[in-house]
Amino acid sequence: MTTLTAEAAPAAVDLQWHRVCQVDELETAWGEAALIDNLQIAVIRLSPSRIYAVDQRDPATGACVMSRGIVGDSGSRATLASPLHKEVYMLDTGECPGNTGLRLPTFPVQVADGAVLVGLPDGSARTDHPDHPDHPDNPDTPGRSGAAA
Amino acid sequence: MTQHPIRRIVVAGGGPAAHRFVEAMCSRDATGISITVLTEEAHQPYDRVALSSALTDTGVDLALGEPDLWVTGGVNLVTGARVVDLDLQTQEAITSDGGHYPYDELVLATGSNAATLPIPGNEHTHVYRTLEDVWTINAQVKELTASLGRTINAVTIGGGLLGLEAAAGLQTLGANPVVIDGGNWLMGTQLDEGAGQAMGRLVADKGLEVHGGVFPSSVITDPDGGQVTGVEMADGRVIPADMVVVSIGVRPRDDIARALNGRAKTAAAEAAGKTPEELADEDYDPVFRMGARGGIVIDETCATDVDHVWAVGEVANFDGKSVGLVAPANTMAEIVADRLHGGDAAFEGFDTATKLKLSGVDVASFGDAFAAGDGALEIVYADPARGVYQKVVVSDDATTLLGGIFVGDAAPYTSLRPLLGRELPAEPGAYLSAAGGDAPDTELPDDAVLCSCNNVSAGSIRDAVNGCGSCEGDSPVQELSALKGCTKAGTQCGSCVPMLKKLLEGELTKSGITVSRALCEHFELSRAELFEAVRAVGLTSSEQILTRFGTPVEVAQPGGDTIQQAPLGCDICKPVLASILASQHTEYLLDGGRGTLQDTNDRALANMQKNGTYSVVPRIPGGEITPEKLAVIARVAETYGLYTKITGALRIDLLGARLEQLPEIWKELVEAGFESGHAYGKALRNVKSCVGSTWCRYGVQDSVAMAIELELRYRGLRSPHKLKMGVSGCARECAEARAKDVGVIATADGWNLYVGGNGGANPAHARLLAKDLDDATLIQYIDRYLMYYIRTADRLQRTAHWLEDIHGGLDHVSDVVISDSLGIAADLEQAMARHVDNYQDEWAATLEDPERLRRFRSFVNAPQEKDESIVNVNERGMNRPATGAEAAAAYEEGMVPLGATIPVRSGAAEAAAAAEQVRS
Repeated sequence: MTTLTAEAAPAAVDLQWHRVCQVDELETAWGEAALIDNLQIAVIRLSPSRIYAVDQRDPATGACVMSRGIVGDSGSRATLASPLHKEVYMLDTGECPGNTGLRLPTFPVQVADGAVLVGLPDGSARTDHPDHPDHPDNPDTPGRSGAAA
Repeated sequence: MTQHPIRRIVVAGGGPAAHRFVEAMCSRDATGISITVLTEEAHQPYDRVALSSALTDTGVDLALGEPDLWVTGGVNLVTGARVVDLDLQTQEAITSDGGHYPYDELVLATGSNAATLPIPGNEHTHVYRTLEDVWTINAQVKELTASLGRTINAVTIGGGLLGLEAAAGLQTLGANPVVIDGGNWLMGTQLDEGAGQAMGRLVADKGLEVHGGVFPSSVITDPDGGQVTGVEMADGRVIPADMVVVSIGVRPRDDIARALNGRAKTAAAEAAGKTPEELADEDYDPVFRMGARGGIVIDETCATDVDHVWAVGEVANFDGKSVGLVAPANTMAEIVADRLHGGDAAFEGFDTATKLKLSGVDVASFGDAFAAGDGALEIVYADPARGVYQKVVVSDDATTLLGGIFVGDAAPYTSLRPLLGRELPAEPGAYLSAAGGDAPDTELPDDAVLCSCNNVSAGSIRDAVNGCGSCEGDSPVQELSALKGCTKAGTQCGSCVPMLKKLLEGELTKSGITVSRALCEHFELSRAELFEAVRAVGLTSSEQILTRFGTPVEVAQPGGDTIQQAPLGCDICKPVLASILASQHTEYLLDGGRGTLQDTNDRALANMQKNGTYSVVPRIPGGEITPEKLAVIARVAETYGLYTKITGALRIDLLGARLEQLPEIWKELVEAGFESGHAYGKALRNVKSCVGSTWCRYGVQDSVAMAIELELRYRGLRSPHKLKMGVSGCARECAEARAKDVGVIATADGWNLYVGGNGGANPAHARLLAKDLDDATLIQYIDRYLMYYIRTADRLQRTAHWLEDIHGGLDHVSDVVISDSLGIAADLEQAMARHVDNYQDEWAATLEDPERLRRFRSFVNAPQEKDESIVNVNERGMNRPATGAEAAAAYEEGMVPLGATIPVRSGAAEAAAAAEQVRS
């Protein structure tokens, strides 16, 4: 098993790994939405061994659209542009260099037996509503900092 | 007095002049200086020039400059503190609340008051001077409109610049705007009679009711004395009014000086054994000399008669005048700051140049606008029918520019204004653009003032562009926004920005600097260069283009080495690659990796809305549609709960479809004979047409048939930006074809072809390319024109801008299209023929192939699930997206499943009640 985006997986938080799909169900650079319980995430494949998972919710507007943004790069880092107002986020850390007030939550990804697994903080009840106490965007969520720091 | 270790500077007043003074002090060396600004207002200094925007939008932020200025060390802004008196012995400013502020230097920047009318009922009127004033007016318009249940009559007394601004704002707020002006024509301070009359006609056309030449005699209220009902005029007429705004000018707020003068007079009278009333004005020395109509007299250094007391802005009287304009106030503030730093700047007189847009009417006046100088000549063009008045005032030998007035078309103002007092490079009449004048482009001399608001000369702008030390780090400033930040030119009223841009481009060209047209960090080439490069080499995929022409990325390898590889691209260059490939090859948009290049809308072959749903726009060529097809659209909208709206392009927009619904919706539409309308693409949108000679008793050609032919020919054509066309069946131009990229207007002998029109934010009228064409030639020319545009335009450059930008302009394009000056006409036509031959409907092609339908699944792991985050509200019988507050409130209540529709709410605060209704 390979953890692909290790920087998003802090040791302090217990992660629960969820199978999303097979690697070859994803087209390179074509984002897809995935539903884990009720949480919407965006899954982006850059190569069979380079897959990112981020929040599907656009940090700027709250609309669940991030998987439909343009995937690109800045220097050697992969980026994702919001399809609504084109804020560009770093796929590895979720930071938005153009607007430091915005951040896109990121989640660790593993590939095992050709399947894409996304790690979410253990026990986080899934809802895609940002005001829900357990949503990763909510600052009170225990797993939040772990999920995307 | 002992010398204080810190030089204490106190500013009385907190308007734009005070702001500029503090900014000017801080931009110089402010060490060892403390600045205390005492303002009676509750706000930081704000932009009074823009007050009318706060009348119509009370939320607008008018704060001047950087907020950091007021937290800079040594700068202290005290709000709610009005200076009422001075102690000249101890050098202290005294505020109404008893505060004493010792100063080493005092700057009086108290501005002016709105003048009030000495007529009965005056207490029921509003003035127009502060943010609170305009907020009150805004609130009263809304209250009265609600309580009276009709459009209210809002009378503005005063037809000057501010009065007209107020009236225009009141009109925007929904009131019936009425202007009462004692003068014989509007804006009598800036405009001569001809210009004022033209202005009067133009604003009357915009719906302003003007009563000129008569003064008001009283404001009438209802018997309870509370509600205004009208304004009685000197000639006995009564103008109905529900509210009255008075804007008849300003009076310098010089009461501090008057109080000191009054005490001096009393003391002198006592010494002479008289009462103050008995003492003649010339028998005592006032502390401050005052202007005949108010204002504290200053010399050219902006110093008053009292040592260490300066006056700037509207309270200052120079050369017998106080002027209520921001440009001289800024200049005075700069002069005092310079003098306090040991400089020798001097005030040379008021620059009264004014340019503004009132109710959409351009007005400008500058210099000796009334030709009052000896021997001054006026060259005038007046066209009452078009509502244009242009005048240039020159010296008696017709060479030196002394002033000018422009109404209705102020285009020459920006280039003339900096030439004030100089020899004109061309005949004065050449500057009357409305008369067909064609003035030469003129190189501005270094000492010509380009930005009069901030007194920035062409020379200092050149210095900044060329990095001659005027800016921090001395590095050249070669971008417009940076240049504005560095020089402050164009940052106040903005009217000089076109000149600023021209000057910048001219300087860059002179120094051999080519403005980078690189697409983004991934391509050094411009779009046009990339288009030609891809075509010449024959590349067919984005991977090939990125590898061949992209800027390589260095990627670190596990061993510590780095390798270079092609970049992935970004949201700027990828859609350009998509467009170039589509224009050259006309293949299905989303196959072969091209899907990942597409911008938001192309990716889903639909237009994404704010909540992540899409709108669907079937093509309705020329706007012609059968009842059967209308019924299909109605059925689809009903089935999927879509919001329907007629677009500006003769089509029907169906909004609110979820991604995974798009294929089902299009299946029904395609089966009924519809095809994609490409509302999502940088492509031909539609061809608008009037009903044409088939029905219309004026039509001379069948505009509908031609529109359909053109729309079917160019449908799906990808271009640097969207393309719109129009066909009108006669010269009445009901299809507004000249507002389109390609406009076709019928004549008795064929078709006139116009190009480069644009609607939207930067409207442009299309210009004539060729006349009286037969159908085949018309299409041949449009083929060449469009393909030449597609090959040579920049990214996201509409045809109007392209025509301005391309070397040689319309003449060049006309040569290429009509005379085939480049010898590429056949090539352009073949390229278009390939597009026409290869066109296929993108939605029909999508539905044919299950692999393509995969792109429209909701979730890769749960394609049967729908996006529950989408919440609708029912309003006026249809769905619309819930606002964040409505959705959150409904969700909080827990009674509304996400993905549902909740009833309409008017305000966010009531959103919680929405959920309540659902429950009950």
